[in-house]
Amino acid sequence: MTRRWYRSLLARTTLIILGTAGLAGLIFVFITFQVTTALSEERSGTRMSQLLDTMESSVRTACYVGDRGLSKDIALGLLKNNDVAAVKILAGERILAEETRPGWLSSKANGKEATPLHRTMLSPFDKTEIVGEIILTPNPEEIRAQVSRNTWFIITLLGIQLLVVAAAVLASVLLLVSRPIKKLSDRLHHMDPTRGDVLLPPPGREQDEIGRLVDDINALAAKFLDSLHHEQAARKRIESGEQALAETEARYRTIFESASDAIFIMREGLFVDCNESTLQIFGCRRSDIIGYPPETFFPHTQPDGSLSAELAMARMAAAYAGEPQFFEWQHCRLDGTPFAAEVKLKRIHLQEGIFLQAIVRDITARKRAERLLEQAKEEAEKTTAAKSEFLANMSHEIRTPMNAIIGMTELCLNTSLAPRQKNYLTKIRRASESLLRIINDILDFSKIEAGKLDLERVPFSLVTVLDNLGALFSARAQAKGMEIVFDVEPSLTQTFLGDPLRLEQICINLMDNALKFSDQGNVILAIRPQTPGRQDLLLRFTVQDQGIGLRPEAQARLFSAFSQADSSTTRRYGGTGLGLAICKRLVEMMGGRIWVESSPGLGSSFHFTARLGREATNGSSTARMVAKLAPHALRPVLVVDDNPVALAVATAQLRQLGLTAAPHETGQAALDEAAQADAPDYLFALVDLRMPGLNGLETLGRLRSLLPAPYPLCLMTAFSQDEALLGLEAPESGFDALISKPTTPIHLFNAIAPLLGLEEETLPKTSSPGLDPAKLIRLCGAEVLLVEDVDLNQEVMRDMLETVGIRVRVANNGQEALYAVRESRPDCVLMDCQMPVMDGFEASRRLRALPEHADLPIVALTANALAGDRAECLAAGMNAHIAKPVRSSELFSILSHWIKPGKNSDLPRTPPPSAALPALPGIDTEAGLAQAGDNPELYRRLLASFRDEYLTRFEASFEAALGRRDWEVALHLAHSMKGITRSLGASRFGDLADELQTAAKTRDPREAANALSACRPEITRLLATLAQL
Amino acid sequence: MSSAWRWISLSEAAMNLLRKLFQRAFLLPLALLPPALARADMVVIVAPQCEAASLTRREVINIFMGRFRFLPSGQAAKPYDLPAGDPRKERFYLALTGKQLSDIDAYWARLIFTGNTAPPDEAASAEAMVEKIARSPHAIGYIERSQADKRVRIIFEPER
Repeated sequence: MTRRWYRSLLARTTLIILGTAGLAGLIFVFITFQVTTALSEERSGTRMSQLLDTMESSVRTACYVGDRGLSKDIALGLLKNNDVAAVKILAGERILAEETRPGWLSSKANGKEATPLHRTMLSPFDKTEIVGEIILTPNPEEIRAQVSRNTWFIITLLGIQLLVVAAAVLASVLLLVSRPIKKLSDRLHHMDPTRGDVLLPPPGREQDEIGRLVDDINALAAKFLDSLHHEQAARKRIESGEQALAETEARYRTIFESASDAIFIMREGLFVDCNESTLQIFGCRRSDIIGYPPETFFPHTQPDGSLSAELAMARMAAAYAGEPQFFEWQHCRLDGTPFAAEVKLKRIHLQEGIFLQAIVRDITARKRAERLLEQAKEEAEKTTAAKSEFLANMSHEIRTPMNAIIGMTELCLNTSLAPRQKNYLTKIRRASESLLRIINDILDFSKIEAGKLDLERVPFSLVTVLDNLGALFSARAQAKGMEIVFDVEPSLTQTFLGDPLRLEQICINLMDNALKFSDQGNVILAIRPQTPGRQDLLLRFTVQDQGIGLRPEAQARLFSAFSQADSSTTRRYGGTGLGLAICKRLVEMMGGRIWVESSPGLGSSFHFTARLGREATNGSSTARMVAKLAPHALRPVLVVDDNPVALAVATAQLRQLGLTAAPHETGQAALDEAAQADAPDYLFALVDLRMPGLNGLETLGRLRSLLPAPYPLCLMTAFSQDEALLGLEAPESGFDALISKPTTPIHLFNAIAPLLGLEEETLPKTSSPGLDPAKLIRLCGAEVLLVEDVDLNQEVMRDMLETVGIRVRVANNGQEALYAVRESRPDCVLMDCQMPVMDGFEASRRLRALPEHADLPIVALTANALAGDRAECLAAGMNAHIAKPVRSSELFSILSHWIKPGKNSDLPRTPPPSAALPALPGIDTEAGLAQAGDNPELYRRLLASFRDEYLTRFEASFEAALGRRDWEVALHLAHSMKGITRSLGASRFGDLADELQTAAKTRDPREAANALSACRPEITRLLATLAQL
Repeated sequence: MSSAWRWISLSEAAMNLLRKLFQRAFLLPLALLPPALARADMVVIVAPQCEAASLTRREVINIFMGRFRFLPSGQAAKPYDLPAGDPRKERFYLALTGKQLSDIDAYWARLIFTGNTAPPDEAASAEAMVEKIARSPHAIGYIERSQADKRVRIIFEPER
């Protein structure tokens, strides 16, 4: 490396300093020159002015007189001064003297003439008169000489200063910077960082810039060393990596080539690379594809009709934009055969730039399979729909004849029959009813399977459900010598939200099974609250029996449809095998589950849970009852029952009422305890009637005689005949209240409350009691339009309606019904739903569209349990709904609700009685006949119905109500009896019923029992009288 | 350096100003002395046959101080002085120009030594003056009013 001398730091520093200083000096000298020149000119002018002052009087004189001699003398004198170059003296226009310095003219030629000094001369004698002028020209030579003198002096001074400063700077640069750097440089030349050499700063220079430079160099060297190591390591890695890369590439190439999907890479719309599968799928050679655009393998249009090229462009653009595309695509092979494919487009970054990777899968086979599957699915759905349709039709087709069978049987039973005929007909009715139940089960199941069963959500009370269950099964249980026990947590008296009918259906099913499969023991229905939710409560129901039980393998398939425990039981016990399957679905719809615990020979426990909504209640009635009983809570209750389960339940129910029980299994044990001296003061005694050994009555009698001040003694009985047997003797036989089993806490409470002087709890409304003959009479004379297309059904319905004196008009379809209504408005329309020409829904809608028929009662008759939905009927504007086959009781109950009374007055007189009534002592037949529209046949039927439905049951029902202290029911019974007997002309009994009603109003059990006793002879007499009908 | 020089020139200018102020303070009162203070009236006389009827003071001064030696009419004029040491000469010049005789003498001295102009010729006495004037129509001189007679004509009265 060659180095020029002027490149060295020292030389450059010198040059810079000298140059800068020299330039500054030049500028300084120039400024000095200018200033000096200006100053010299000024001083020269001043000096000339002063010179003139001294010569002024002489000049004035010379000018005044105009004397040339004097003027010349003066001029020459002035020129002796170096500052003056020329003098000119004038008197007016006249030149008196003009003198110049020798050699001055040449300098004048330079053009550098200084400003001349003019001075006007006044007369020496008159200061106002101008007599002449003198002009002095300054001498530029003199000024220049002065300036150059001054300038040279300053230049000299500056030059010396410059030299001194430059020398000082150079010396310091040499000493402080240049030499150390040179030394460092020499050392650096011999330094090898890889050996770990370190540069040392010159001594004493550790802290200054040189020191820092050395530190930095060392740091840099270290860094350099570091990166050198890194680089070496990286190179090693790369070398080993390259080999691995080659292997990897080969591996991926193999994967790429052997993939079953076509994989290819495109760039700028052209194929760049592809694998073997691509060639197979597209049916081409590599040379057919590389370099060609993908359009080569598109049909002109896609299956949906859009242009392939446009769609493909859009997809590829989106993929290029970084959005991976996945779509189905119609490709075609090189030979033009199309095939369906699934395409994945993705942008990939390779070393050469951005590519588009496409993976194409031939999905022809899959498409075919999908199509087949779709077809199969459609067919299956079609089949299912057809099945549902078939079931709906079947329902209709089966119910229509069933309607005729049951209706006709019922009608037939209402006629006078020989006992044998009556027996046969009763059996026919029972058989058809069970057939109907089976059909209903099947339809229910179909509905559930079709997802068409909707649960209601209405407020209801468990007590109502239990009452219905008790009424339904107690007779059967009694017939088998078994007992039904309700073991219900007393806190469950509140109102729930749910579907009580479906809940009842489940319980009926389970209890029906329990009764069916056991011959002894109890059937216990236990209800327990499970986890309470915010809005709802999970209840667990358990139906327990002591029947034949189930084998484990039978349990497993118990809840599946169409299955039963085994074929032998099917034969022995009958049944469709659908009941439990329906229960299972219903329970599941109620948000619960159903299961069974059983062992053969030891009975079964069926459990199910159901989630019921909680309705806001104004306090629990249990809490109220407990509060009312609180003052008596200290006294125990004596409970005697031979049935341990019933005993436990009674004990539990008492405990739930806040009372303690002293349970005994035999009357003797209870008597023994009561006889002891320290026997507790019982609050009351609760004794079962039927017990081995001492029965309930005997026990109570002995207890009464044993005690000096007897507490209330209550008799419990599960058997209604017992009530009938004991009824009259109640006051004498020594018990204060009769309680019918199964008991519930509220019934228990209501039975004992009057005895303790407490107010009774109101019972939740029970379902409507049986048909009220008083209402039947109200129906008499009403006009009903029957819209029904089937002749048989027309006949059944017409007869059924006419039995209660309803006038029937018939329309064969909806169209006819519209004409009929327009002709004259009936009191009610019974509308079949499925009819030719115009169906019931349409007819109802058209009727409702007419303002004058907006309030016309329309009751739907539906035979189609699947489609004939109650909601659909209501939506069409109908008021109520009766399912076929029609039961007369249901029909009349609904009709009496919708037909307004007051039609009897304009009853058309019927022809005279065709069949004379037999003599009926104690009955005013004339009045009764008038009430029945002078229709003796109807009157006869009404009387027979009154006898069968009312009179025979009245006493027992009333006593039962009394036993439960159910005053409302008692009042209702008495009231309706009064109404019906008076309507039928049995006014004597009507008066008695009136008294009975009055007695019931007092709510005094004894008085009511007395009034009932008064009725008894009349009842017996009436029964005897009416027996001949 | 330049400022130092500027300071010097400024001080010089200030000194000049001061000097001028001094001159004014001393010279002005002298110049303003009223000519009425002179006791005896001096008059300028010419021969009666002289062409000029009257002369202004400037014309008189111009003639006596050697500027012009002729009358306004163009006729030559020859002034005469009283002898040096005659107090009337001093009074005359003082009345005419307001200057002391020494000043007048200095004035003439400059012209006499280097110039071409000469002072008026001297008459031996006031009487001689009168005579010379009476004789020549070009002659012009000055006397006391009391000395003027019919031979001469008063052409200018410097003290009026």
